[in-house]
Amino acid sequence: MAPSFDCVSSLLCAEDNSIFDENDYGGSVEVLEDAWQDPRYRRNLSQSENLDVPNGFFPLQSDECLRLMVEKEWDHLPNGDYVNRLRSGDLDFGARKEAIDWIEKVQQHFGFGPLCAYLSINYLDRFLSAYELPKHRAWTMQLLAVGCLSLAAKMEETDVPFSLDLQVGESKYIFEAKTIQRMELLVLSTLRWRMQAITPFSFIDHFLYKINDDQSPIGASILQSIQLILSTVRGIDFLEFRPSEIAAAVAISVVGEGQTVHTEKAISVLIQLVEKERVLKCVKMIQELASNSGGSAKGASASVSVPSVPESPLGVLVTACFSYKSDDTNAASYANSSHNISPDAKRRKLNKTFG
Amino acid sequence: MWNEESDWIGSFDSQLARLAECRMCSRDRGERPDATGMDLEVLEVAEEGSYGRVFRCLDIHTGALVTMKQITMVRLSQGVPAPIIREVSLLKELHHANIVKLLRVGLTENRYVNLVFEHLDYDLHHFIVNRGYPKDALTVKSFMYQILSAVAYCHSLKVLHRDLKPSNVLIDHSKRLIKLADFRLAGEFADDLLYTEKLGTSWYRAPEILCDSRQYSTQIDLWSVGCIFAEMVIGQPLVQAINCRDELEGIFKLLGTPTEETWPGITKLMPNLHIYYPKFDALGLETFVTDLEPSGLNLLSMMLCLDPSRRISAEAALKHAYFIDVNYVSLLLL
Repeated sequence: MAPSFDCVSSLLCAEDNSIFDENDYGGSVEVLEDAWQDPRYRRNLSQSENLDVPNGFFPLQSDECLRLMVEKEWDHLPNGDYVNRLRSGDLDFGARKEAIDWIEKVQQHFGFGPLCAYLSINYLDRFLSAYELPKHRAWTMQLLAVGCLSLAAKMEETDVPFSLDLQVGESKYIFEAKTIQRMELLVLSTLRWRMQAITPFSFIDHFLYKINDDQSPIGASILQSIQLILSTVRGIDFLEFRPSEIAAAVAISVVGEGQTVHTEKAISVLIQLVEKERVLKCVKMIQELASNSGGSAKGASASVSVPSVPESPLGVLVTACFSYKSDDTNAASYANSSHNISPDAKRRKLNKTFG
Repeated sequence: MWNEESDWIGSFDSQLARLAECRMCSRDRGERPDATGMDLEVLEVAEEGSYGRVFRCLDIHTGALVTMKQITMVRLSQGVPAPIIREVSLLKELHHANIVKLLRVGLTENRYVNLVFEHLDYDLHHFIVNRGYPKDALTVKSFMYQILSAVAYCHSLKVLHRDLKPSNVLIDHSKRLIKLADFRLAGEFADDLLYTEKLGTSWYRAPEILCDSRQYSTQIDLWSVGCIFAEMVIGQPLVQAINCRDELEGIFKLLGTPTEETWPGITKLMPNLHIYYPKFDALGLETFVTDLEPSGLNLLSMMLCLDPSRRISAEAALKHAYFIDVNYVSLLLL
């Protein structure tokens, strides 16, 4: 007889605990009437060869809007003790890593944008922090990964494959469409349908602009930022940082690569939004990650083409983190992941990251 | 063994099914939940469409009128439909007096997603058609200010509505309050959305979308707001066509066929422009929109600008001279 999962049963019909009760507005409407008062900055991306975007296409958010996003970003993070539970072994770190590896392979297979990959992992972490999956059931984590990627693709991609078709590569388990749909519903309800997550991508263009003396970031630094942000999501050490802090640290690291940027000065332009000590800690961790990856990365990145990424510890980190070998392919880069997609489509996917 | 794991999957699947089909419990244990599973008493079916049905309901506990949109999940192969996920998740982040409030989300029979919204009396389309449209200039001004406030708020959070039209603008009659609704097509900037014929009427679509541009931003919503503005004044859609091509022709008749001077980049966007469309001279908005004060006409022309890069933003529109007496208007009408 198949085991029953009490963790699921316990959620059924509990008084005041229906997970489909979405009435979390607290009865009041928050009128954010100042969100558009400050003049908008305009980005000029004409310098960028990688981003085919007309001048002034995206408005940068006002400072007020960014402050609102910083306030709201807490709502899109895993529960507080999640990192400790992963470190202590209470949650299966290895299973999480396998799920992320699978998400990355499928993302590459379909040419999904970087934000889609980031959101998938964000959903996965938030779900695991709030919901007790049955232990020692590898398939449950696989099903969760399928559900999270499916939801992220629906949020971010134009052409979303059927849920059955998402299960490409070496999936040990193939789930029926109705099972995936129910997993999607479980994730949606557990995350209270808060899928429009605030991520480091929400801040990075503004931070690059600010740190760069209000100059528009060039395509290379945008590309490098995208890849660095994605590198932070694989391990668990960066889970203790908020998206705004990761974005600030990435911006400082990336701009510091191309020119000598005084970290203190860089943080001073962002100080209203982020805590200096935490950003400095995050910058240090990114640099450590870069130096730790240095030795092994050079060999691995021989066949990788990452446009305009400088030869430096960070450049090496970027190629190391976004390359892997599978049975039938050489190392491939996220930057060139859309195998059957036109250059225009690739550009659009890159543009979407800052949407 | 695989069989054993298959059993586990079956078990988990049935648990998920139970969870998904679980109906919201009544707070009073003596009360049975209603047929919707949402503690609502259905008063009437307000609308039926291909996606599902809209009900006018009474909240059993509060006695408040609510609107429930029941969406059928027909295609299992697609899982939970993307438009539902987008609409709900966006409304979870948008909190503004001029945006409809999503009260809760529920499921019935693992087949219907039920979205419960605050109830409003009717939509702007109904108001224009059945009430002889807002002939009162102050009402038009108040409605426009509220629509723009909501749009500016969305844009400040990097959200495009992408389907603004009178039927998606709801009205609370007693408070003369406007609320934007139906965020099914909404999304973040630069998120590719293929606007096809099946997505409904093209009457409110920006010319760059009708030209099949993939690069569009906040300006598309401002064009739609301009179309709504004109319709409130004249009582009918500014340009009514049966397809995108005819819609573009109608726009070009009104505003003139664009050139590189009036719309830089148009020849790249539509290389065959002058093969498909005659060179129309602009008839001018003032020819059709006659009952609008000069500052209003000026604002309208800035919204209905063919070149997206020169089109006014929602933020700038709110500061336009047309709204100089808006505080007086608000006090008068609210």
